[in-house]
Amino acid sequence: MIKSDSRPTAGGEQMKTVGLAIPASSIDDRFVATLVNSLADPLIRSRVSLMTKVVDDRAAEEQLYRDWADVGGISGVALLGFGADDTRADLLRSLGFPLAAVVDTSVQAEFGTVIVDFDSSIDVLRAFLAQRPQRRTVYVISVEEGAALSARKEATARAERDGLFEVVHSAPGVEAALAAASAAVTGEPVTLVFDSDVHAAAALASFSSRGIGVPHDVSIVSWTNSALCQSASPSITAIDRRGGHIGSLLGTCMLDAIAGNGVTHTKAPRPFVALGETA
Amino acid sequence: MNQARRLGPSSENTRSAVLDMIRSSGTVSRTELAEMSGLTATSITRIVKSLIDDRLVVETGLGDATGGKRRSLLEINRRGRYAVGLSLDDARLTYVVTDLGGSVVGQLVSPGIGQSAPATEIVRIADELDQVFRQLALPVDDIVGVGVAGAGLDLGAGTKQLSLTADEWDSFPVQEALESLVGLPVVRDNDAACAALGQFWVGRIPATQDFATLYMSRGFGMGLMIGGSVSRGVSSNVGEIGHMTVDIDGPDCWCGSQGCLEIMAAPRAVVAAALRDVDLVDELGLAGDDAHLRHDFDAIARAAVRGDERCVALVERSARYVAAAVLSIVNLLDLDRVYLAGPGFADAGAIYVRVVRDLVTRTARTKAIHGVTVELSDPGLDTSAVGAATLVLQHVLTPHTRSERGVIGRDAPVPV
Repeated sequence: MIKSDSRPTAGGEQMKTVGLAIPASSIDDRFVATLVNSLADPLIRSRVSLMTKVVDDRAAEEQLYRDWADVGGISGVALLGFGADDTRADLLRSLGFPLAAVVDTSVQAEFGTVIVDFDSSIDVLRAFLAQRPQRRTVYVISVEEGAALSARKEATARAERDGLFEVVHSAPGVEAALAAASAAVTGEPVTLVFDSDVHAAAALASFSSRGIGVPHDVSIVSWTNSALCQSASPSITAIDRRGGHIGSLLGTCMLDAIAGNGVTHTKAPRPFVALGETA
Repeated sequence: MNQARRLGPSSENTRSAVLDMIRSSGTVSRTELAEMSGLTATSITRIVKSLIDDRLVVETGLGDATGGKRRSLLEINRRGRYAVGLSLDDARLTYVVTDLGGSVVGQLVSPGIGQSAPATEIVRIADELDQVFRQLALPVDDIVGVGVAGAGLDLGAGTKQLSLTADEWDSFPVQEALESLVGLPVVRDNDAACAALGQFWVGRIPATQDFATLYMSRGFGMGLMIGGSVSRGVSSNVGEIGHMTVDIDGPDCWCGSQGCLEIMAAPRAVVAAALRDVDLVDELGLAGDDAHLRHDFDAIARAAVRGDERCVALVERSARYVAAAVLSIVNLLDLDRVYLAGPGFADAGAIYVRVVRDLVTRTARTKAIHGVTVELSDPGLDTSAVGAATLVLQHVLTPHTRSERGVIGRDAPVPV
């Protein structure tokens, strides 16, 4: 069981802290960064702090929770990417931590959740592409194995079977994503969808420097909206998966959990296309 | 591979320079270090041994054979030391812990200093630093120091006076107080300089790329990176762009001048203009007092992003003044890259980027020679906290080139 769920401050106030583990494979993911940044907002308004630690793998994450139970001062734990058959909730409950999580639609949880429907992101992309001149679409995925939720993989596979796009898997890193993107450009107009905003921006720079017209020859869509997309020149069209809103909802869920209030299950808001100039 | 950097035999910083060569090379052999530094193989062997003994460097395997036996390769021991960067802000405190390679290993975000007295807050900060060390399982002996980023001038009175975000902080000795409470070296700098350094670090920008970072929180600051280092000026106060006059007939500024960028375009000016529209105040729930300045400004910025014409006009008016200031800086310094950073750009940053880029692209004096890139620093990333941690790392890794304005704790030597 946890040693103590709060700590006294110099002013005599009992300051609570929520803990969050961030997979190392997600540390450069702007969707996660935005979510975590917004998660802190409702917590801070209630004078609750947020402690995050980067973990290399699931074993390190579970050890972190045991360490937090041992040293004390963590009032509850927020979880990211909670899927079916996830054992983290059982571990946290055994350690005495209240919890809340961002889950996919396959999860039926007894704790507070924010439910992300990956199919809705696909639908948003589908509707957007339908409004554009018809051209081949290639989705360049470089998410590391194990980092993507099964629900996301399944939604992507369904969309590929439906003919929405072809999927090309690349090794992690900008160079590999650029190589995969270049291989997908065969002379006919094509739409490239990148799961990373950094890769989308690198592709934009690469194609522009090679005289390939964007969006005339190659349209570019980022699966992750970010400041980089908004301030790129030309600005990059992106799917905004509402990371900030999801983080804020998770923070509210977490406050309910540590206060012992009722369990709520909230659907994540529908993504939208942040229209830029690349598609 | 770096170009050769000849080190003088009497250099007091030879050891740290060798450490920096290892860090910047990724992996490197002793032979290559000798070639790069101009030091003898014996000296390199001795220095490397001491770095390995101190857990700052590790051997990572064997390189390719070049006729003789294969050479063992060295690299920085990323988890050998850690640095903490603290961003002091009225809305939230952000503590970022980085390893020796500059990668973030953990972070604590807690309520900001608000209107609280410095003497109270500094005790809370020390308490929260202890919390960071315990909950991230960091041995205090492995912490090289704490970098503190806050707004304000270095008033040239040693560590006695560093304006942070409120008048009371002006005369509060943050560095000394924190050092005495946590027993670690403390380095401090302004948030704009730290944001530039953080952008340089996380953006993996080459040292040859000069750029400016315009930072907006309650006011404005500008960090200037020249040749991979923060530019300082005579009194370490480069970047007081908030008091650049952008309207000679503008209202009086608290600094004694008129029409300063801060008085014309900072969040307080935007909120003040919004408060004159009663309907808008009602619709957005604007409080109008200083304690809710961030809340009010964010509400206006978000409404502008949603397309509320009244708020778009307010934000664009602010952005035009910012653009005028940036244009002057670009012309003055012949820059080709500017970042907009800080919480003030978190919601309506894209509007500011558009307005600034438009003006600079149309009218920069050097437009026929080179373009000027204007980018938004990611608001999800606290670049000033990362930069503050980087300040400490630089102090350890490259004291021979360090340029931070604070003096590292006199009684607490850096553990290199």
